[in-house]
Amino acid sequence: MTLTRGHTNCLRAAVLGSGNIAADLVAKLQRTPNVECCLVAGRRNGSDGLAFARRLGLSTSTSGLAAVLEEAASFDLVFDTTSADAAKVNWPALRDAGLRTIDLTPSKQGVMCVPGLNIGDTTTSQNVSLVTCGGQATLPFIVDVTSHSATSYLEVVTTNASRSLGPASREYIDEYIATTEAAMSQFSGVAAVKAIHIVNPADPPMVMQNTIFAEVTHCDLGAISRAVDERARRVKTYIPGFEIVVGPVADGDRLLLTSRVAGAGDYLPTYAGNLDIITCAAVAVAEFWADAGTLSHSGTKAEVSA
Amino acid sequence: MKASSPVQLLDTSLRDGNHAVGHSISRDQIRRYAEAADAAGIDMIECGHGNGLGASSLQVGRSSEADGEMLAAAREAVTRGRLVTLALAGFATRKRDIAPALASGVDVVRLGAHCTEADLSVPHIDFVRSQGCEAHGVLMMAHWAPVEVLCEQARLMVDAGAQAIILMDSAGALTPGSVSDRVTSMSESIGVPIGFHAHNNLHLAVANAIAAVSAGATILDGSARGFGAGAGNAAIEVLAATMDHLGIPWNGDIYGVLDAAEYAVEHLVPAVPHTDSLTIISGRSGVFSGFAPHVRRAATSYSVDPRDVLSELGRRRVVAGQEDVVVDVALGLAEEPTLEEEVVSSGDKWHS
Repeated sequence: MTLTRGHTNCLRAAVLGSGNIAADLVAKLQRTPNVECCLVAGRRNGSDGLAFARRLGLSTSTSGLAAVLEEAASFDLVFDTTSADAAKVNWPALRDAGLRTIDLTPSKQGVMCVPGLNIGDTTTSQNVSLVTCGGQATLPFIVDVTSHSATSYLEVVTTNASRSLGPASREYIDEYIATTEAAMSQFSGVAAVKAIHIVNPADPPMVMQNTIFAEVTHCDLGAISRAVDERARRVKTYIPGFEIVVGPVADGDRLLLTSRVAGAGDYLPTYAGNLDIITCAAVAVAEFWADAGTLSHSGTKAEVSA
Repeated sequence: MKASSPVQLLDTSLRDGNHAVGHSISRDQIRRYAEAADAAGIDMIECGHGNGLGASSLQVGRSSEADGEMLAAAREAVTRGRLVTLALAGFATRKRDIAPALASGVDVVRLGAHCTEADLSVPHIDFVRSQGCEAHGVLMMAHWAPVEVLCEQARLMVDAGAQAIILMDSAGALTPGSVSDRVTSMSESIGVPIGFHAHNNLHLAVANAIAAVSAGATILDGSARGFGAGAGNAAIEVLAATMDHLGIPWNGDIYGVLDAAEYAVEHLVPAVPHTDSLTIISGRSGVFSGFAPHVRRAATSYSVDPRDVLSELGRRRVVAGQEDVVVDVALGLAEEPTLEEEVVSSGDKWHS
């Protein structure tokens, strides 16, 4: 994901929503050479996310979707960070306006993507669904497990700090579970899956934790360990705070793998790795589109900003 | 003591008891025990996986019976009282779990969340009410938060439509005074019936339940011989007899309740729960009672003291559903040098 500045293809993006995920994404886009954040459109004037965007000197609006549609022609893509239900309203309008969308809510409308696994599938997608934070943190490792074992059942347990979850994440926990489970089956080919989401209010807040359980009939634990190590190294290149804390360990017919994800502390403190794991994925997809030149408002970021 | 209308008893043997037997209660056991409890005039009979609908998992334990099968068996048996089930946010979802439970004919769904995270269950409460079913809000691990926070969280549930609020002392960490404070404030400010669910870690389950009723609670959870997670719940037959003793009215027949408990000892409860070293440390550390079997298993696998595991879990402030942390903690303790090794290694350093 290292890209040089002065890339010839700089994309102009709008961010829909102004919650924790939007704010963290906006912070990351400040460091992304070929994607320019041109508008942050929320709904609440008093929202912390909009205030954060204003402090960064970005253009903001409280008119939400309407603000994006009004200037649709000046954007190449939209990051939707609103909520599962709002994203279902937003997408048809964005599509009609000709805007490609990277959806960070669990609304599951587009091509489900985990950049480390299938970013190539998004080359021509109009809508990319980034599954969920728990999905982003575990699906690559699930594929490592199922590639070297005969797996009959998969389970993912994600525990997040209470303070890292904004109102939309809290309201749409059922959708989070359903979307995570759908992606687990899709990427692994295993039909029997379960996702569990636990919220912990400890103070100081705990770092995002994910556990994968797999029931296997036979497996090559050595091969899984090597694949997981290699994968973790790659994930660390964009989330330095990612670490495998337990496993993979075998206990009878089950495998267990636990990871912790500390974030960069861009918006919320480092405990909120659940924000980083999905906002980094969003940036990766946008950069991939910029590189592929499948969208274009030509010019470098500097030129566009000028 | 003022208790104008009878206290409602809720028998959770067929739900919390599942924690004590690795979620293995059979349909046949459900049918028979529910019949006995129903015949005794118990108001509400709760049935399901220990962690509620959709919770059968490697994380907290597999259920030997599917949710639907358990509820169907209980539904056949419960004719006088009301059939209750539990759904916790983060495990159960409306579509996958709660809607099918409603279709199987439950009378009350208890929608729960950790006691500081009530908003997570708001969509569930709203859904259950919209389907015309009674919804109770459950605040788990009620020792965790101060009274003001509990009241504020209960308010979120009531505003969403909860028709009662149940405080669960999931870690068995409360004492009669702290129960009384909590229930008094809540019954003054919440405006719906308050219930209390005790655990016996510090051998205070019945005393705590009675303290709750004295402070204004009108729903009490109990189970046959205390059949439930960790040190178990308040023994429902002791609760009933104590209320008789104190002149607190309740619905039902004391001999019937005693008979149901006798039946349970014969056919449902393989070992009557008791307070032991682990449950005492668990209560003192404020750790969810359902962790006990996971702690025992991990402590044996990694040759560490289960009491140390529980203390560390308490220090990390884990909540119900974080059973995966048990292995992490046990491994961490196994890797720590023992005191003896530490002395030797520091001695080595000293000489080198």
